[in-house]
Amino acid sequence: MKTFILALIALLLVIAGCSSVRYTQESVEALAKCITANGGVEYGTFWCPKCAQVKKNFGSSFQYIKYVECDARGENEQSELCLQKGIDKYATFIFNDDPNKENWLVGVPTLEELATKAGCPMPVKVQ
Amino acid sequence: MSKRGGNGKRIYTSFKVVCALAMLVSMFLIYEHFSEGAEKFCTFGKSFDCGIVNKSPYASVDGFLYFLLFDVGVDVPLLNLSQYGLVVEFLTTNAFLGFLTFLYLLLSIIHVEKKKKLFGICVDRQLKTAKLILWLSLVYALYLVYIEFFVLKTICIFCIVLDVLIILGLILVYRLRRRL
Repeated sequence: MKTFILALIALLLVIAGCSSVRYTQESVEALAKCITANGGVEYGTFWCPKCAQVKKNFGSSFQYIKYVECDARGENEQSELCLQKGIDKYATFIFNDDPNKENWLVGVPTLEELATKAGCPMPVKVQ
Repeated sequence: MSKRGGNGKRIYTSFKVVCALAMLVSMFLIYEHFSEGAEKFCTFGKSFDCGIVNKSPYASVDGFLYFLLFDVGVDVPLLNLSQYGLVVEFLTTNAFLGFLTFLYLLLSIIHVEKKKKLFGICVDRQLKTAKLILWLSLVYALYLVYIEFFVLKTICIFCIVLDVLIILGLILVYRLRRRL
C-alpha cells in the first residue's frame, strides 16, 4: 500500500514537472508593471474564476496590474464604469481605453498574449 | 442489553448513510467544479451559487495559499496546481478529497462493525482516526464557510449540506466510541 502511494506521488510529480510552464518572478513583475504603463486595465469581479486564474498567473505581481472591480458588492467597486465600457465577460483586458471589443483580451489570456498585446517583453521561462 | 445492541446497529447504519450521502454530495461538487456552467437547482440569484464557489480558486487545496496571498496579504508563493494538468487539478479539489475522506470513513466503520483491522489499524485506533479526520474536516469546513460568507459572498447549499454531514458524522463517532 505504502509503495503504491509513493509510486503515485512520484508519478504526479513527474506529470507536474513535465506539463507546467513557469516564469521567473522578476520577469512577471516587469511584465505586470509594463502592461499597466502601456495602458492595460483588467476588468473583473471578486468571484469570477477566470479573474482568479489571471491573478494566480501573476502571483504577488498582480498588485502592479490596474484592476477594476465590476461587481457592486466588491471592494472599491466601479460597476458603473464597467457598464459604460460594455463589459459583459470577465476577465477583460482593455488597452488604452480602446472601445473596439475585437481588440480586448477576454477570459484567461496567457502572459505571452498579454505581453504581445501590450507591447511588452515576453516573460522569461524558468529553465 | 438487546436494546443497547439495537441502538449500536442503528448508529453504525446512520454513520454509513451519512458517509454515503456525503460521497454523493462530493461527487456532485466534483461535477460542478469541472462543468461549464452551474446547476440551476442550487443557484438562486447572486447569494446562492454552487458554481461560483466550486469553480473558485478556494475549491482546491492550494486555495488556502491564494487566500493568504490575495485576501490576507501574506506574501506566499502560489502552487497554481491547475497549471499541472487535469489529473493534478482533479486530485487536489476539495470535493474529491471530501469524497476520499468519506470513502475511508465508510470503509473504516464497516471494519469497526465487524471488529476487523483496516490497513493494519486496530478497531479502537480506527475510531480515534475517524474522530481526528472529522475534526480536521470540520476546521477546514469552517474556513470554507468563512470564504463563502465573507470572500465570495455567495453560498453553496450543497457545501453546507456536506458541512452538516461532517457534524453528524462527528456526533455519531463520539456515540460509537462511548459504546466500545
